Amino acid sequence: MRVAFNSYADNLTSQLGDLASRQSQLQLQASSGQRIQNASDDPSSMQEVLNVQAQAKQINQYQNNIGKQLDLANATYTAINSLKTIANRANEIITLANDLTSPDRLTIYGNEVDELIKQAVTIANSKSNNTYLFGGTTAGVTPYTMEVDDSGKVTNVSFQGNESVNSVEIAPGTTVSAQVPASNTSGTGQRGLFTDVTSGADLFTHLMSLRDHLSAKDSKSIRDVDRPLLQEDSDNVLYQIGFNGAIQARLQIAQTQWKGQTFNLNNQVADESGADLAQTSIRLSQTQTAYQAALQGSSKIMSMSLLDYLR
Amino acid sequence: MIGLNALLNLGARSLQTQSQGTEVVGNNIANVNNSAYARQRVVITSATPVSTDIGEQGTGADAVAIQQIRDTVLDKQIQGQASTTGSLNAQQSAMQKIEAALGQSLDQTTQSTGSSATSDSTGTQHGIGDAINTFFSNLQTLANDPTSLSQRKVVLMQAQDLASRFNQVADNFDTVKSGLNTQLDNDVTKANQLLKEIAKLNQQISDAKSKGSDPNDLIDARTGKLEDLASLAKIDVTDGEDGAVNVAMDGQNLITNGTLTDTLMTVDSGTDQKLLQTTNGGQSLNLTGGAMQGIIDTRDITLASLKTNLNTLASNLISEVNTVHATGFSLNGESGADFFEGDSAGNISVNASLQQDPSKLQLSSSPDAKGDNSIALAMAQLANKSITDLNDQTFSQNYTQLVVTLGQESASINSQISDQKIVTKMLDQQRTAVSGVSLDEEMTDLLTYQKAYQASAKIVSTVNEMFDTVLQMKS
Repeated sequence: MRVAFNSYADNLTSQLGDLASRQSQLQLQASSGQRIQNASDDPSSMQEVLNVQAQAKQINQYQNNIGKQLDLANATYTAINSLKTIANRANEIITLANDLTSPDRLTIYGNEVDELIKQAVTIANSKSNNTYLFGGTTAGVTPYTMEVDDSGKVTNVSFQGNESVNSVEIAPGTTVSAQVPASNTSGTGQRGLFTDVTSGADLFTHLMSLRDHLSAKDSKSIRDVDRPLLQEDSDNVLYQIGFNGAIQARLQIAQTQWKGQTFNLNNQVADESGADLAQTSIRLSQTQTAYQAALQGSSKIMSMSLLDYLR
Repeated sequence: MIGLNALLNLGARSLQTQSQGTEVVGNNIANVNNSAYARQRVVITSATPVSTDIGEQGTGADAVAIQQIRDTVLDKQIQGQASTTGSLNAQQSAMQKIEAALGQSLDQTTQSTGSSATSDSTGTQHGIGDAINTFFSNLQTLANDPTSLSQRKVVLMQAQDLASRFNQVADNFDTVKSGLNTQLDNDVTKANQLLKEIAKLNQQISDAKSKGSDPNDLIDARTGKLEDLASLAKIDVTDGEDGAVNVAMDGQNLITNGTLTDTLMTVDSGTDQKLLQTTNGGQSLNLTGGAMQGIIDTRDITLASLKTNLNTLASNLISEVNTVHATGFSLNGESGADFFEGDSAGNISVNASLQQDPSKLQLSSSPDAKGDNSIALAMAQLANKSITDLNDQTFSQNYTQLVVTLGQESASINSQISDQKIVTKMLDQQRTAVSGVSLDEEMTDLLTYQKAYQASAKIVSTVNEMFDTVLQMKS
């Protein structure tokens, strides 16, 4: 084939342009660690990466939700556990009262139960992150209020909250609530902690009844009425502890699952969009060598001319 | 026998012939860097012989023509490919502008908003995609604490950021469209100028031909102009009379019998979509190649479709979020307010009254339960809802599809350009091989003509000596 003078220059320009473009692309990949930056670099990988990143963001949010629910569950557990101590002490007092013959001792126990009621109200008004644990979905309203007479005795404890709980999403379409309703008077849904129609629990009423019977030194009522009722309260508290444990276990399993999934997603993104640094470096080096060879070869060819040999 | 006088004349003609050869070589060397130039050769033929007693005797040689070495088939092929290349380059340039306008890129060096540094290292995606994901993610966070005014503010600010990104991209698309229209106007101006120049060259070539000369340099210039015009719009070139060419575009004659009969102009169809038509004929032109066709196609197909899809996404986001939000109750017990305002990517915004007072966000399902998060949760769960109008995709999936579709089209153009470069390069190499100037060849020819000139001069000087000899014989 006949070779015109400008063929060398045209070819060199074209080759250098291609090689410079490849060098630039490889240099960008090596410096960013990414094989693709824009959708046009590799549309199918871009689609995969965008979907994975959206999924990762969602999973990250689910993990945040789980973390917050675990915090709530822990705070709730602390409160229920304290309530269990109160219920246990009340049952203990019932047993002690049954064996007592001294009326004064019954009065002292009556006073102690009154203090237990006040402590139970304090527990019922516990907060976590400045939110009442047992207020339901009413915000800013103290869940339980109590009235006392002149002698400081609790005369009434009333519930100001509602029986609903908030749920949050921990997986697509899957919601969970670590919140416990203080009261359930309908018999449907999650059991109430202080008042529950299904289990027969009504802690404040039952404690006040016990206190009154102790004050009245009515051992028969303590034995026949208060004991079975407070046993129902104790059973309900134990049920709530078990339920709380189950929720925490579920949340922890979900958290572990998402951690594993996040790890997989990270790998997936790296596989799809990450640049293999070793391979990229080798290809960059090859391209640089080719660039040098093109310059060197062309400069040698182009520097030769028949003119050099003509006198 | 032709005699000394005739021999002297032969020598003189030979000197002239070799001199012309040297001139053509010089012209070739001077045009070595002129890409439109086709090398030339002097055509030398034997002069008319005379009859002598011993037979026909030659009378030397004459330079009868300066021939241009050109392959017209290759020229036509290159002209055709110029339209394809022009179209693809224009499309690539427009696609790059659209990709930049969309502003969607991957960044693995930074974490997305709200990601924990230890767990998620999938990176972030700049653009609307990230804003959509963050918006729904923040709604989830708000569902954990629906009465928090600071968290409500965060959601509203993030929602406004999302709306602003939609506005920005819609605005960028309009800017790209306006830029493409301007580019189309500029290309029409260039094409009209080229048409004028081609018509003028036609005239000059016809004049030269009618005088019996070969206007090689004018033909070179016209070939270059035709290729420039072909890169702007696909043209049909046919040979006319006296070396002139006729040019037509989409069946409409623009240069007829070598004369400019019509030009191009743009017309606005009323929707800021400039289209092409002939100025005199008023005929709409439906181009099938060239930069102008690339611009129109990218603007009216790719960009228009992208804009429609983005508006569909924005309007569905507005209606879905508003439908859920309107059923909720604010911290003050109000209901029925929209979350987003507007109906497209260009005018989406967050309800101003909510922005002023975050307590008006309607996140509760009951006016009596301010702490209820049902509506916040329902809004957050829209992230995973398949929307019928979005081809049963979620918002995020639909946006990803939009980005990937653009990427596929852009990648396809890039790939076509790579292939086209090879075709163009091969054709250019073939044409250069035929028509390009080789300095080695020219130097060799120069030597050849130089030696022939020297030899011709020797003939003249020898004849001169012979004359002297004859004259001395008489004296």
